[in-house]
Amino acid sequence: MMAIILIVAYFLAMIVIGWWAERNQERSTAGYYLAGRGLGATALFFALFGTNCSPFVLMGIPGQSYHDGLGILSLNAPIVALVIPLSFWLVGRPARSMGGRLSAISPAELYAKRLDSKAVGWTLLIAFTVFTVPYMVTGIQGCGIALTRQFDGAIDASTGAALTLAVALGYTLLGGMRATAWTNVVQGALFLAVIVLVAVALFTEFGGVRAAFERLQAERPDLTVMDRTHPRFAPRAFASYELAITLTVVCFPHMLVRLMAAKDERTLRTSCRLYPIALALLWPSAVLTGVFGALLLPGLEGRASDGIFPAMVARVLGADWSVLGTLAVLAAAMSTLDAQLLTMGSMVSRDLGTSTRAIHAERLFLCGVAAAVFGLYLVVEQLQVSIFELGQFCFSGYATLFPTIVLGLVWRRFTGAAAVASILGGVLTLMAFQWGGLPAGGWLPVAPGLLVASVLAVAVSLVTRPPAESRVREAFGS
Amino acid sequence: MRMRILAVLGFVSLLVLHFDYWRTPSTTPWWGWLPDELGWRLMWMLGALTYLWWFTSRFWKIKP
Repeated sequence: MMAIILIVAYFLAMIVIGWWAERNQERSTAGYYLAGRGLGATALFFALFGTNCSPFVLMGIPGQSYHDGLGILSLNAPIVALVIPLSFWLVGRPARSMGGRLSAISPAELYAKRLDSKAVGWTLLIAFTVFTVPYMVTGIQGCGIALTRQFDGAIDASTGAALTLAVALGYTLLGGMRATAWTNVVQGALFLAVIVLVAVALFTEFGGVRAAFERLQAERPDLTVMDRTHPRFAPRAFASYELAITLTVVCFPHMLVRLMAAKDERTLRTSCRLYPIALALLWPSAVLTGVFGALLLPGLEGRASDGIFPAMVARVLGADWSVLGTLAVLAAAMSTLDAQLLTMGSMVSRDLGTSTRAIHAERLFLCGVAAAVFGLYLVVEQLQVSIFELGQFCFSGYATLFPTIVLGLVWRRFTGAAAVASILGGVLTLMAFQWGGLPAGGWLPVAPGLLVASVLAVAVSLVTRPPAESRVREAFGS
Repeated sequence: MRMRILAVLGFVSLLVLHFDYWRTPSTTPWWGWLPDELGWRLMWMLGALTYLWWFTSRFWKIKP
């Protein structure tokens, strides 16, 4: 009963924040999609943190650590804690100022205007859609698992997924960016607090940190090392995964749009300082939950380990408090999902339609995106794809967009033709290696994809006509 | 210019330490209980945190 009350209270709180945001927002497209380009330090930090921490971190990472041990921490946490904050400087700063100067609302629109090319906008829109919609599926997939487990199967996974999607859509429709940023403050604080609490309770159960690791060493020494002969941790696979996991975040359209909504550069810099601290709390806790889960709840095979986080919450906090795990998963999922819905809605609306439509009509596009996400979710459930695997595919795809995303913001000579060539070349190369059976010599498909995208971005820029100087001056402000 | 060189050197040093296939992981836990893999990565993250703090304090200057 307490579980139902807390989950309903959480959903209602999100809707109330959405309603409050709707009442207090600027009545314009920039007001709705970018909070009037005025997100302050607290809202921006949690918006970035919440947006980037999805069930991939709370469900996928513990699930994979359950099988592969501490190597999953080495593979993900360190490089992410360094490169993502630096991307606020490398990409966030120019994207925010350029977006303001060009009055761009969506990332695709920003690049289309900067490069004076509608083809760039369309190409980016298609690429973002191809990689964002499956990534959104991982969010509702995690919620479905968590709600099913919470209610012992009384709610099936697809109903749980639909419910979560509906609530996230509800408050996003109401208050746009302002609603998603302030719900992210609550959601980010909630899932961070719960995962740290679980880690503390876990060590308490073992009788202390030292006792916990001594037992791990005695019973599962294989989980305490990064096995460098494992295909996931072999040098080339490791290096390629690092490329994917770091460069992908820079290219998330839902992160870019948050960066564009920052009030000023100072708020970006504050987020750069706080971000690694929050990640240093989150990631080790997530990995350790999975690793110690293998000790306390052994025997989960394959994709079943995706449910280890809620199972561990119930194990270490007691069945009465297992709802906290479910709330944490819902919070992590919805904090990413809302940003993705809003960004995809803005891109579909701004880049497919006209920019003079009334706000309430633009909201219809968000509903269309949500329907597409749920449709794909049903397909993925049939195919039994794990959250980690699906996330990895999306991350590889985003990473191939990196040359266009960065060069478009920092290189004046970069051209629209180069952007289109780079995106198409990178994505097609990725697909050829992923599904076409081309040998990559131990590298993951993302590595050749990124290489081709980078070479094309530079080479095509140098052989095509430079962009008009007036547009370049307008974009760069000088 | 000096700051820029320092920023790049700091970043590259962290990358070299992260891609640590040159290192032979120890099988002896740190202080008798902390797995070497975890200890190494946590120390690295502390280093990255220090670097980012320096980066935002000294390198990332905001123009008025």
